[in-house]
Amino acid sequence: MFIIVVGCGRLGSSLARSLSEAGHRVTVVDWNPQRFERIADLGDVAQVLGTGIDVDVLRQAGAEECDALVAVTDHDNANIMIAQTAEQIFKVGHVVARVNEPRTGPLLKTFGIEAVCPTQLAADALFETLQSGWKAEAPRTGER
Amino acid sequence: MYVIVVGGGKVGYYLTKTLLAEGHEVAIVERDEKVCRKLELDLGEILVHADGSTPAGLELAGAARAQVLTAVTGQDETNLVTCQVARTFFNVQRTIGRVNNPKNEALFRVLNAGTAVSSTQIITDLIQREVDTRHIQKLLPLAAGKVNLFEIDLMATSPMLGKAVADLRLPPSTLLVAILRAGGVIVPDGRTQLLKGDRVIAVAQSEREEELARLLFGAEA
Repeated sequence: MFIIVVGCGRLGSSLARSLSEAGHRVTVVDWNPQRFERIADLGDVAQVLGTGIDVDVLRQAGAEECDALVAVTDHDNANIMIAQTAEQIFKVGHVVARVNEPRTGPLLKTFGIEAVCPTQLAADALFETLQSGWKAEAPRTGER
Repeated sequence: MYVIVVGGGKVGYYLTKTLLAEGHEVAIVERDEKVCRKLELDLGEILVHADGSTPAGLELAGAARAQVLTAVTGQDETNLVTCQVARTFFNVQRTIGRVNNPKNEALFRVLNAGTAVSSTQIITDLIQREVDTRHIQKLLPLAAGKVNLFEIDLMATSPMLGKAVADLRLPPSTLLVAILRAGGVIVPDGRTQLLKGDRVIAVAQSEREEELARLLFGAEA
């Protein structure tokens, strides 16, 4: 599969690494050249310098022929805009956006954007971790 | 009219002041607390401290009863999403977004965000107009930009001077709708002659601009 990752921060670079190691063809887009240092060791991953909210940058990255595009910059609105551009202009088959704000749920649903919310995922994981702790301690609390 | 301005930077501030002076009811939405504190002294009562790109933020600003919403933050993506939220969640009929990247003007239309205004494009057009020897200008895009309203300044060198409209051999689907001459407006018919100094308003397919320009200004222009 050919996948475009827009945003090369901690999340984007990690995702690009995983995808590349899984054998996919990956192109990463970021406006800040310093961010590519995170993936400097990944020879197979193509780098495109430019902002993701520019149709020509996305086209240069291969949006017309890619199988999937992931918008993982650190701005929710940019990711929402990139996702809509990928879907409606480039007709990319599978588009996913990262959103940090959990309350964007209704908006994403209305706009038909598939999204992953790291904040919510982390909150859920922390909750699970805490809850499993309580379960283990349950007898003690029960004594009180 | 009730107008919501999203973005309390310089554009938002002066826009709000201007709209107020014109007698409109205005709310200005700004998410940054520091910026809000500055605006508060001047615009306290109509200032809404919220993220205007979210349904909750626009709810706070009373978007449901706004006739116009304009998003003028420095970020194209925020302005796009703000306009989309206003249209989709609050049914605001007229939304206007500021874009820095002129390419995002077209995207605004395609992604149902309303009208985009690009100061970059406006300045570019004005410069281009100075440079361009053929004075043809797009006034208004229609039908998602497929058709345009053009304004053409006929200069002394136009080979069409003295000709009647019927003899012009205009490109297909092109109509001269008005001629601005000596401070008045003429609605031309086939017999109307073109004169030096006329400003011709035409409706034509956008892709015919070159053809129209060649016809009115001559091939060498």
